Amino acid sequence: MKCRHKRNEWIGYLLGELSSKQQMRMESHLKECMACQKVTEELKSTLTVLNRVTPPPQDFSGGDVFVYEIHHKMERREIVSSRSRRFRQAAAGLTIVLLMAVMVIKLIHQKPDSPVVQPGSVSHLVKAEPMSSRLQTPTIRLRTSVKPVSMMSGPSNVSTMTQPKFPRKPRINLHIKTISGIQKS
Amino acid sequence: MKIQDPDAELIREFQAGSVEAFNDLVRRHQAAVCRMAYRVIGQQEESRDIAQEVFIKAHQMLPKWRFKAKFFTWLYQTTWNLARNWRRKHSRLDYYEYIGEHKELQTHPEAQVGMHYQEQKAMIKRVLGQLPKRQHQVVLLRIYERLSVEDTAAVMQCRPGTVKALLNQAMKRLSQIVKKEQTYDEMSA
Repeated sequence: MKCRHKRNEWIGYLLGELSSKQQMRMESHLKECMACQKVTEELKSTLTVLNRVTPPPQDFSGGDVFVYEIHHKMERREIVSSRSRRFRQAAAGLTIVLLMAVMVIKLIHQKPDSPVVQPGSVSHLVKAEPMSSRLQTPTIRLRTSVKPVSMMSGPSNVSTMTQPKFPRKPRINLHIKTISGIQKS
Repeated sequence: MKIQDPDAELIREFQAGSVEAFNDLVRRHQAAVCRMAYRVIGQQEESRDIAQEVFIKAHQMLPKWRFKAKFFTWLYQTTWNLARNWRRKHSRLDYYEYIGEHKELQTHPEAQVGMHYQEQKAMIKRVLGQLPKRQHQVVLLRIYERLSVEDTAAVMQCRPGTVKALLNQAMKRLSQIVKKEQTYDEMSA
């Protein structure tokens, strides 16, 4: 016949976790029930073996030295973290400066798409391509003034004499008008 | 009369700016935390380091402590997690065959009894290490640390019923191994 007492109750009994009343009740039951006797014997031997295994050394934590070591470690970490924080801030600042410098250099050296220049035309507005699709730089309006070759190279008879075989490219003067809201003349 | 939790008092003092309260808190629990870490990883020096790591974490966490749980449950939980992580990182190291074990066996009075004790001890240790994570944890907390079912459940973040079931499974498994060893000894004797 199966007993109503569960294995868990016997673990609690052997660990001494029950109240004195419960403990006495379990003891009286144990005297009568063979199945429970078997279970408790089995559990007892297991607990005995378990309690023999790896007894940790008595108070190896080291008392006040342990507390001192904790504070020492925390101070050391604080120093390291403050240093790394400063380093990170400096690195971030430097990166921003470098990025801005690169952007400015790119903008200065950027050439517009070769405009279709009609001979005789003087100036028109060219819409330049954005510098990079990722950066999404704002539209840059460039005003170009183009002078025809004949006007740049003096009188017509000289120009016909010194004119090269292929027509010269027109000189383009760039004036950055607006860059992301900053007015530049 | 309501019994005040001494940990809660110390935490309140620490939150008010007392460093000595934190030191008292460490002194109260350092042995238990070291023991728990030692039970998981089996190395004295490393378990000390892990225990210190636990208290450093506590130092960072305590200013935000809201007194919804018992402090020692948090301690045991963190110790268990850190020690398990350590063991996972050093899984190549056979943790039950460390140098300390051999030293301990040589000096232990029961070591004189013979090889049987040593073998049984090593075997149980090996089995404990091979138990599923939760069963191992429940054995450490209930059998070795003698926490109640409710406290164990709080540490393991599960229901008391689950703790009972896990301990039952672990004890069954360990009993089987012990029984097998005993029958083997009887046969060989």
